[in-house]
Amino acid sequence: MNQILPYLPESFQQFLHRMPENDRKMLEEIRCRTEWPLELIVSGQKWIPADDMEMPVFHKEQAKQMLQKISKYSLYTLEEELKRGYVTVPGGHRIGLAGRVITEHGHVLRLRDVTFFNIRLAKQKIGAALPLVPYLYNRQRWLNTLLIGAPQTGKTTMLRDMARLISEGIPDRYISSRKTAIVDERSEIAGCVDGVPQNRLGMRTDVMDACPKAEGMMMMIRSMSPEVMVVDEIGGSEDTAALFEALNAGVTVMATAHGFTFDQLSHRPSIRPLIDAQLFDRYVILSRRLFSNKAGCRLTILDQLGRKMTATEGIWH
Amino acid sequence: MIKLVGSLIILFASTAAGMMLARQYRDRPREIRQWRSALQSIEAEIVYGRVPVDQMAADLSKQFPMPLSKFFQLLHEQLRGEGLPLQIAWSTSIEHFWPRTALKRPEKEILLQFGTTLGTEDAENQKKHIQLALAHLEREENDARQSQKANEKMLRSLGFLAGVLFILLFI
Repeated sequence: MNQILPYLPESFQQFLHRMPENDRKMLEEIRCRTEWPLELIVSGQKWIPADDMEMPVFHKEQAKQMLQKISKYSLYTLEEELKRGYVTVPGGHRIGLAGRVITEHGHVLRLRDVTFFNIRLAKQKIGAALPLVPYLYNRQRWLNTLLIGAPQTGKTTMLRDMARLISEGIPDRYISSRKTAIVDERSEIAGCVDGVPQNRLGMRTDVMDACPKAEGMMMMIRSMSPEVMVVDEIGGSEDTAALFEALNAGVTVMATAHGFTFDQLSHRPSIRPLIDAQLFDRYVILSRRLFSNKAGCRLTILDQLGRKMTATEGIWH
Repeated sequence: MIKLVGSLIILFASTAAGMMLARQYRDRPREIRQWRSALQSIEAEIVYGRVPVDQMAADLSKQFPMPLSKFFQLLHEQLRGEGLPLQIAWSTSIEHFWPRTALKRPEKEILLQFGTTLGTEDAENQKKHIQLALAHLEREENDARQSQKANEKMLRSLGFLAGVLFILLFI
């Protein structure tokens, strides 16, 4: 939280300081839209301030300044980020950007006038994946797993904690640590800044940051000899090909994919071959639940053929 | 005896004054040249390294001789220590640094103008701005060399000769 504050305009900083402590802890997103009041997402819902507090308005000049501050007054350092539309800042927080796009030959060249900001606060939840361990670890090895969930259900949080558990091992349960490789295309799992992970990932983790997944997976297999490979949001057909390659090379894969249900996912042409070939041993479906205003999620675990094994629930905060 | 000592003092003082004035003319082209190589380093850092300005200032302050290193040191302090926006940090650093240099008004304008563009655009455009500033500085350097040729020697000998003239007048 304190890492994010300096980027915000003065009035926003003061506002966040006056916010009730409990709500501030549960803050998930800070959204700034030019000429509109600040929006805060707390526990998955829009936060309504008390009557005596008024949301400060985000002005055009402030938008410009914010981008300058994010780039440390060196906009040329953000070229790649302005093309992708988000920036990862120290602490692993991600700032999504939107605005006017410049194109060249029909491809996005970069964002020019950035007027919308979405600051997603990264919160590493140490131990979030512990309930999954009994289902995903069998006979001295981790099983190939696909985590399925809609946006904001905590797929990445879960995956990050899986990566940590795998590379740290769990001595209490006699699970030894493994060489782990993360291909982090969107800098979300490790939250790297200048190639150094900001999140706790265990000491046996190698990270290929901001690398296209398909190529990154091949690079990792060739160069780093991982035992477990962790990738986020597989989807494209190249990803599928690379996954086949990885699984055939004897590397365990932990991946996530967007989707609400298993059936829905199995209709996606790029994912279908993976399911048909039964490459994944376990599927974990995440869905968001609110427990008396606390964010949490429901986990459903399916086996190789998509049959339900068990369901469990967890509260995060 | 006293006369001799007095006349020597006068001669020394006027020669020194002449030397100092001449030094202004000698240092100016040299400093412009330093600035040009600094801008070229900045260009390389931006285009190939994508290094942010605060870090670049720290690197450059170690690379260049005085007085240029002082400027980058000031800039670095203002950016890191005080957290000022780059544009403000640049112009205040220029102001603080100015009394130490032999540079003249036109160079100051060029550098201030360059400061307003630094860090606000992508590498391609940054490069153009740097090229523009370099071209301006090159022109100033030529001017400075010419006035150095015309004035440096003259001022040095003028100082000495003025001293001699005074002594002759007073004797």
